[in-house]
Amino acid sequence: MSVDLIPLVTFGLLALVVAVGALAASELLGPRRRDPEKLTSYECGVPIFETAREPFHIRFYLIAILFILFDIETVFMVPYVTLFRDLGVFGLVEMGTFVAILGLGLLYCWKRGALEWD
Amino acid sequence: MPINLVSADYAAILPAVILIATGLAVLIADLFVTDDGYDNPSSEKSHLVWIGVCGAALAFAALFVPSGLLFGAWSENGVASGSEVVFLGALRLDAFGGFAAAIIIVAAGLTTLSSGGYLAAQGQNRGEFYGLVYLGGGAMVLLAQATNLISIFVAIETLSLTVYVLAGFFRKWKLGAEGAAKYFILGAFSSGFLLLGMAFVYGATGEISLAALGKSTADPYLMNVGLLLILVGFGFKVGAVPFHSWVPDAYQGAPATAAGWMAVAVKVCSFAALIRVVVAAGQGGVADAAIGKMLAALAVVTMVLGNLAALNQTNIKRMLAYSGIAHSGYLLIPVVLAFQGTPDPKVGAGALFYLVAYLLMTIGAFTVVAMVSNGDTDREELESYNGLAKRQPFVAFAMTVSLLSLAGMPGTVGFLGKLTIFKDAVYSGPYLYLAFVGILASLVSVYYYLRPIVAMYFREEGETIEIVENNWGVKLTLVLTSFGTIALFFCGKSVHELSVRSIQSITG
Repeated sequence: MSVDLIPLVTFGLLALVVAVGALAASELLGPRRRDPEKLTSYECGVPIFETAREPFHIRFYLIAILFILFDIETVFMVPYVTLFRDLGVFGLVEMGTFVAILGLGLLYCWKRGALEWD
Repeated sequence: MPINLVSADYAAILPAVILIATGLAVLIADLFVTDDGYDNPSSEKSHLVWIGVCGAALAFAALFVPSGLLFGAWSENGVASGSEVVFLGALRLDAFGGFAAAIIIVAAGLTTLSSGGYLAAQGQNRGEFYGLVYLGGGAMVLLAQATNLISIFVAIETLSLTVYVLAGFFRKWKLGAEGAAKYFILGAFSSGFLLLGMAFVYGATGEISLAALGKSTADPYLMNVGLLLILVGFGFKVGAVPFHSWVPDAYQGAPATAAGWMAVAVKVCSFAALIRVVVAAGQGGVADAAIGKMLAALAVVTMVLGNLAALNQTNIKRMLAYSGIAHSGYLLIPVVLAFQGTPDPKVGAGALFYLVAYLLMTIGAFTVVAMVSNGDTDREELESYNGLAKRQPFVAFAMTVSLLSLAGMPGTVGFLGKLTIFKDAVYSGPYLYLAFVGILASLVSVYYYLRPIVAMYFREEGETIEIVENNWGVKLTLVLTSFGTIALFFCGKSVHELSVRSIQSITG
C-alpha cells in the first residue's frame, strides 16, 4: 500500500468507529421508556391525522414541477449575483433573456390554468 | 471573468436562436389568439402555421447572411469556407453544420405546413405541437454544429425530450402512449450508453473537444471502448439494427406528420454529429480499424433487416418506419467511409446529399399518410389506399413520387442519392461489398414501395375515403415535396457540390 493512502484509511476507520460507536453506545446505555405517544411518527410537533401512504391529487405534481422550475431559476441567479459587476451588460442581457423565457413559461402555465386550484 | 463574444459567435447560433424564439412565439400566440374566446383544438389555427413557417424562413435566411453558416460555401465557387470555433469550442461555425441545419429548418417548415389540417381533424390542434417542433429544431441545429462532448450531449437530450412528447402527442391513442413510453425508455437507456462512452473518451484524452479524438497519445483501450459505446448511443438515435426496436412502435403511435419530423430531423442531426465523431476519430488517432468494420457490419444488417421486415407490413406507418431503418443503413455507408478517411476525404458528402433527398420523399410520404388517415387510425392500413388515384389523383401522384424516390427509381432525387452513396463505396476499395449489399437491399425494397402504388391505381375502392381536403398547407407541402423530388433529379448537381464543400469544411 502506498504511504499516501494511510491517512485516508485511518480517517475512514475512525469515521466508522465513531459512527458505529455512537449508535451502539446510545442503544446500550440510553434509558428507554416507550409509551404510545412516543412511538408515533414525529411530524413537526402536530398530531398526525392520517397516513401519508395514499395517492395524492395530480395537482400537487403540477405545483411541484412549477416549484422546481423557479427553484432552478434561483440556483442560477445566485452565482450570477456574485459576478454581477464583472459580467457587466453582457451578463445583464443574458440573465434577462433567461428570466424572460422563464416568465413566458409562467405566463403559459397561468393561461393554461395550472395555477387554479379548483 | 468577462466574456467576450464576437460576431462569429452570434452568427453561429443565429439560426438556432430564431428557431427557439419561433417555438416560444407559437406557444404564447396559442394562448391569446383563439377562435371564439376559448382554446379550440379542432380549429385549423392558420396563424400558428404562419408564425412557424415565417420563423423557419427567417432561420433559413440566417444561414446565408455574411459570416453565416453556409455563406462561405454558397458564395465562393469550389472553395471550402473558412470555419471558426465559437463559444470556447462548444460549437463550430462551418458549412457542414450549416448544410445539416438547412435540412432541419426546411423539415420544420414543411412539418408545420402539413400539420394544421391533420391535427385539427383529430381534434388535437394544440400550439404545443408546433412549439415542440421548433424548440426541438433549435436543439437539432445546435447538435449539427456541436464540437465537444458536452454540447453534443446537451443538444441530444434537449431534442430527445421534445421528440418523446411528440411521439405521444395523441394522448388518448393507446398506441401513442405505448410508442412514446418505449421510445422514452430506450432513448434514456441509449443516452446512458452515450454518456458512458463520452466519459471513457474523456478519460482517454483528458479533453472534451472532439478534435482530441484524433490524439495519438490517448489511451487506446479507453478510447476504443468509449467510441464503441458512443456508436451504440448513436445507433439507438438513428434506429440502426440491432438498436431499432423502438422505431416501428414510436412511428405508428405518433401523429403522422410528427413521425415524418422524427424520421427526418432526428436522423439528420444525429448523422451530422456521428460524422463529426467518426471523422475526428479516424484522423490518425488510436481508434482501432475494427471500429470501421463494426460500423460496416451495422450498415449491412440495418440495410438487410430493415428492408426484409418492411416486406410484410400492412400498416403504412410501420412500413415507412422499417423503410426509415433501411435508409439509416444506406446512410451508414458514408459514415463508414468517412471513418476510413481515405482515399477521398469527400466521401461523407454522400450522406449530406442523401439526407436532402430523404427529407423530401419522407415528409411527402408521411403527409399523404396524414391526409388519408384523417383522424382515424384504421385508415393507416394499406387497404385504405385502394382506388385513391381515382378520387384524389394529385395526392396519389405525390405519394407515388415519394415512394418511387424512396425506392431509388431514376427520375427522382432518391436515385441520385443512392447513386452517390454506392459510387463512393465502390471507389473506396475495401468497402466495395457495402455497395453490393445496398443495391441488393434496395432491389428488395422496390416490392414493398410498389404495393401502395398498385393499391392506389389498380385496386377498386372499398369504402369512400374522406381525406383532409381543401387544406392549403397540406397541398402546398405535397406540391413542394413532389416538385423538389423530381426537380432535384435534374438539377441536383449544385446541391451535391454544396454538400461536397460542406463536408470539406470538417475534413479539410
